[in-house]
Amino acid sequence: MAAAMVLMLSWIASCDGKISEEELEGLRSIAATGRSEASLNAVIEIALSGRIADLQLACEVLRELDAKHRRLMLQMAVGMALEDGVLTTAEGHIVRFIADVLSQSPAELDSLFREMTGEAFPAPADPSSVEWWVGRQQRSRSRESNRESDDSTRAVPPPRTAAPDMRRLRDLAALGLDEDASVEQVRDAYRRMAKVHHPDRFASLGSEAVKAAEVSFRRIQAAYERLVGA
Amino acid sequence: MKDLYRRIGLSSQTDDRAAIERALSSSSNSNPASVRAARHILLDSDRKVVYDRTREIVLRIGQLRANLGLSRAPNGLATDCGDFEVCPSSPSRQPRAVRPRSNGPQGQRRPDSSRRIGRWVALVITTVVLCLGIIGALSKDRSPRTSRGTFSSPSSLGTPASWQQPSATPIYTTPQSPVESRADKVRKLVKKRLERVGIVLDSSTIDVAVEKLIQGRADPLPATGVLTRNFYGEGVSPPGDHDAARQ
Repeated sequence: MAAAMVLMLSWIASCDGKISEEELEGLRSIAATGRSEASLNAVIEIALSGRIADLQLACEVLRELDAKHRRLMLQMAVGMALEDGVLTTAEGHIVRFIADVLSQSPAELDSLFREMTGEAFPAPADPSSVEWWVGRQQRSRSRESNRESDDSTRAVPPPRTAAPDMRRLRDLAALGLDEDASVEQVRDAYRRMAKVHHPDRFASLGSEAVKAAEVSFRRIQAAYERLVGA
Repeated sequence: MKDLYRRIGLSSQTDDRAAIERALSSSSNSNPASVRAARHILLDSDRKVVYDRTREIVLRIGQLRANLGLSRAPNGLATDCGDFEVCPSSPSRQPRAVRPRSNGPQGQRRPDSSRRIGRWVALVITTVVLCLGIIGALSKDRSPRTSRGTFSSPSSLGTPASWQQPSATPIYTTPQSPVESRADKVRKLVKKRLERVGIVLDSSTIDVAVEKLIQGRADPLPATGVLTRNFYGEGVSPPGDHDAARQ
């Protein structure tokens, strides 16, 4: 079961072509708890290669979970998709697929996502349409212009250099927030996410899940502390 | 999400820019919307990387959904990835083909010619089978049923021996053709011979004569002598005469 969970989570982590440090850390802790640390690299390789037979086997193993554990597994999948702060189109597709494997309805997925981020599960983007690319470009431009014109009005103190700016954006994304979020919004998001990711909730799913939740919880806590300057 | 490669006529994903441009120019008239999207995305390296990566994931998910019986699962239906759906019964791992469209709104697909022919063949076969079934049922209804040789209902099936028909007697008998009785034959023959010799009698007289003749009596029409002579032949006595001679 642990190997199947790690494989599916690795697939989510690697679907953008690379596995970030945060994602790797989460996978390592799950693999270490499941005594499959040695095979983690092999599992990640399988995930990167996307072999259908292996992924199918993992899905069939996950189907053996009971209703409660299915929801927790889906929560782990959403957490892994949001690990780097951005839900890409490919990650969205995989999360939807895992929800179907675990017999979770769109409403249940949406409810879970709201619980974790405070927002609805985004509608699937269409990278095969010109309109989506045009919209993406416009969003990017308006974000740039807002950043230049409205630095003084930000609730969260602005960064002094480019590197901290990226760090701050990732911290906000970890809490499911936009860059314009106020301190109050950061606090609310932290309270909500800390409740959702608390390791105690995952005790019944096994030690691997508890370990993964601990990693997510620590990441949220660190992001919150950096943002509010505690 | 659409499979732009297939929509412009390429069989698979490629990094060959020249091949993409050739495909775009060859399908520019037939499929303008997809060609516009493909030109915008596949000829721009940054966009192509993002599109290709997402396409690979969606392609795998399509195959996994087919293998796991999740092609019609609710979360998948919300994604509008029809181009990447895989037929579950298909031995091939390729998604179903997408043909470029000449007109119409984006996102609709037309079945290819083989699928269309297959549908027609299936329709014709179904119609023929239905017609044969109806004809068979009608002919059974017309046939008189016998009380013997009826089949057991499936719920009452017993041992294999009881599945056999109770006897070699056919279950249904064909309608019997009317068998001419001997009297009718004689009547016809008498009438014919009387006409030949120019004697005209009414039918009731003929009936009485024929009946007597069959019963073996002497010439029922002694006045004419025609019947005995012509029916039994010259010099041949009717059965009644032999019996009378013995007595």
